[in-house]
Amino acid sequence: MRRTGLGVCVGLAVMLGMMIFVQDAMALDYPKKPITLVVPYSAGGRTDLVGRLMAQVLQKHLKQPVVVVDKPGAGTVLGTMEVIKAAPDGYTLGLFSNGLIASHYVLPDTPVLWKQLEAVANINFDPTCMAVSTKTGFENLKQFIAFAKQNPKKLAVGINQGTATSLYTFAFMKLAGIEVVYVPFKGGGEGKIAIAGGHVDAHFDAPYIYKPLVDGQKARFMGMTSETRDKFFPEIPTLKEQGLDITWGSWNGIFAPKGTSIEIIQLLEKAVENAVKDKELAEMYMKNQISVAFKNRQEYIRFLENEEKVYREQAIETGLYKPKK
Amino acid sequence: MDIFNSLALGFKVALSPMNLFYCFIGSVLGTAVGVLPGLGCAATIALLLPLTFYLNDVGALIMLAGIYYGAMYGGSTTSILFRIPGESTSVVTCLDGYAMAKNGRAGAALGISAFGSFIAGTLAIIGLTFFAPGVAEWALEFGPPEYFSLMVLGMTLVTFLGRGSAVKTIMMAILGMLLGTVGLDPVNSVARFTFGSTFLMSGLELVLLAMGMFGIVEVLKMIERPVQQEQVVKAPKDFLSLLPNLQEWKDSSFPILRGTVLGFLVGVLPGGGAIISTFASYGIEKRISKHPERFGEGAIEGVAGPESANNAASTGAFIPLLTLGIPSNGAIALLLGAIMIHGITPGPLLFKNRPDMFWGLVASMYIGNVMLIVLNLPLVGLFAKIAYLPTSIINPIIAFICILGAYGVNNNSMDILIMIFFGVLGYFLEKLDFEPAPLLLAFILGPMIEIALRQSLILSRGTGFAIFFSRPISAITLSVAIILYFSPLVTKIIKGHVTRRRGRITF
Repeated sequence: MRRTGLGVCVGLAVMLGMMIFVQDAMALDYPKKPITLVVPYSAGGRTDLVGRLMAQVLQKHLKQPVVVVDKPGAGTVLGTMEVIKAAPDGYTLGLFSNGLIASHYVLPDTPVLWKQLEAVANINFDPTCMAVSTKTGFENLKQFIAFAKQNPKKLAVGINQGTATSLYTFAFMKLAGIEVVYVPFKGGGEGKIAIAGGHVDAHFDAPYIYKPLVDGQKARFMGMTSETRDKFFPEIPTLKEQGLDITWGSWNGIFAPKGTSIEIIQLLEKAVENAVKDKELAEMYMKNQISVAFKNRQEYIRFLENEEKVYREQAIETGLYKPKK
Repeated sequence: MDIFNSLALGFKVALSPMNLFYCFIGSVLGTAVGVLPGLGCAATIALLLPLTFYLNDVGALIMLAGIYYGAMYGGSTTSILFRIPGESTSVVTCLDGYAMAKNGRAGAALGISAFGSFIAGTLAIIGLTFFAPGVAEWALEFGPPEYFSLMVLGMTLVTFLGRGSAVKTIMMAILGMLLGTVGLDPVNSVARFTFGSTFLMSGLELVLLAMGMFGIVEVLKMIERPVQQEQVVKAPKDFLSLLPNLQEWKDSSFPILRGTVLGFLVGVLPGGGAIISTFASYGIEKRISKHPERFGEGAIEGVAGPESANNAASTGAFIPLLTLGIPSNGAIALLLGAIMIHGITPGPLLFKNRPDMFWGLVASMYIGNVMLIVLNLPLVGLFAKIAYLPTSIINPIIAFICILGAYGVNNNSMDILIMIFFGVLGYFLEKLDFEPAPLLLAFILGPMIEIALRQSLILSRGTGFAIFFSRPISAITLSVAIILYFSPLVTKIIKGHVTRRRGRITF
């Protein structure tokens, strides 16, 4: 009798266990352990900040820790490859910028990387701006262009070597019809220092980078690369309203390795959407002048395809890239 | 008088119980970051950055700044005990710090780096308090041509780092420069010496080379010796004899002061030069020493100077941040981020709009330095005992810390293999009397010289090298460098024979 009772008990337990198992397999059992978010930049950069603040709030919505891991190097290629090669289980994600698309055009021998990834959602979109050193004496863009036209190759423009901004800097000068010399810098920080000292005349980067210099009358804003005036810097005119029809911006979005199941991607897409709608994240982004521009997966893929087309055109036009047959 | 009123306001802010607490947390974390190799300052600040959003802005900044300058205190610990640089700014401390530990003076080496750090840190804050705006303007004068000339001058230090054959020293420097070219070239992003590997595209990391060529080499050298031949130096019983004695204090006082001035001035430059200031301090101390042959055998000046320089440099780096909003290195860029996370733009308006933040931070740095010395002195006693452990215990610890540290640099396991490769290479080089220090300095300076040279030549718009002599700072610096390079040759011509003294290069 006792033995039978035990048998029944064991049988029931096994059945119960199986039921739970079946139920779990039907519902999505994700995420059940911490998620790694790879950022291909070093700590202290813009993308790193966007990622760290996102991770902070995203983990609240995913109920699992989201750990940001910086993998800088080789102009974002190193960190990107890490995500491409990772297991497509949703536990390794990447937070990439427009460098993801630009790298193919601005770094020699770099494959098209973004097609080897699954887009999840876009987070933000922020315009770039042009600043000049106050030592140049230029008050506005018109003066800058007029001087450059009369004195070809006289002005020195800093570029962040190997980035999307460098590509657009070339495109801008071409559109304006001026010739300048380009001085390469490793990153925005160094170009900004050269502007402050008047060692280079102009440079393109995010407006917040120059704000302290503009406050200290070391640099002057020339124009924004946005369609309309930026909400954080309404005092800066757009390039467009000054007659130069060129717009671009930098964005950051979440990507997963190719082959990640669509259920996981959809769950993440929703979680990112909830995170950007979260008051906590909205306030943090706002204080850092990061403009939320959420795009769901479908919108993001369309956007990426367009970006690819535009970058390609710019790269071919400026002679930076020669299409292979 | 105005400054004193402002400083009084700052102390009022910094001495509030909460801010004192944040300052303490920052000092503790900073010490830990410094002691543990691979756990970088920037990575730690980045980790804490989102959390600071929930703190008050001044408190957050006080804490994160504490981590930054606190790391300079602990950085020397593993250099002295294990010959593993805890931070890149403590690479040069491996040379004489470890030699001192071998001679049974680990406590003195640790002690002098703690006191040196305190003295240099405090003097640099006084400099920051009184001269910040003027110094910042001066620093902006440094453009690519000035950096080029400065780095070329820095290269002359290579000759002071080698102890043996001059030819071998130069060979190592050339190898160092070559290693520095691995990765994407700075002007066209063309891959160099990467052999098709994406990993090598990002270049080699200084800390990996240093850990391999100092730490791993030490492990391999210890393996050579049979265990029974080990000589264990007995640890002194009382705490006071662990600390530097009177003679050691006498030898260190001027190196500390010189290191402070040097570190402060180099630290202010927005290019960031804390590492270079340590090498420069070492080179200068050896150059002016009456007994240069002691360097490398455990000269306390070789620890006191560089360890003071890196602390002064870390404080000096706050000047461009606070007065111009310009970060001179990754960790300082994160502090900028920490200020901005609260919606405040650092820079010239910070004085005016938020004097409580500006002066609160400055005052907290005085307090933080006192906390750090109080925190670090008991640790000296604790850590110094480690140096008396037998090699059979120390050896695995060194290997373990090196591997852990190598992974921590970029969270990449390939880095461990790179470090081990340089360890094995370093071992054979050392067997052949090639020294690692000149290689490392050239490895640091090489890429900086390259980019500054190419930027300058672009800026010269075809006039070429004339640009280096058309700007006063650059012209003076480069002239001094040229004189230093050729002075041995001139000496030789004058004397009419080859002289070989003080380990300096003569042709």
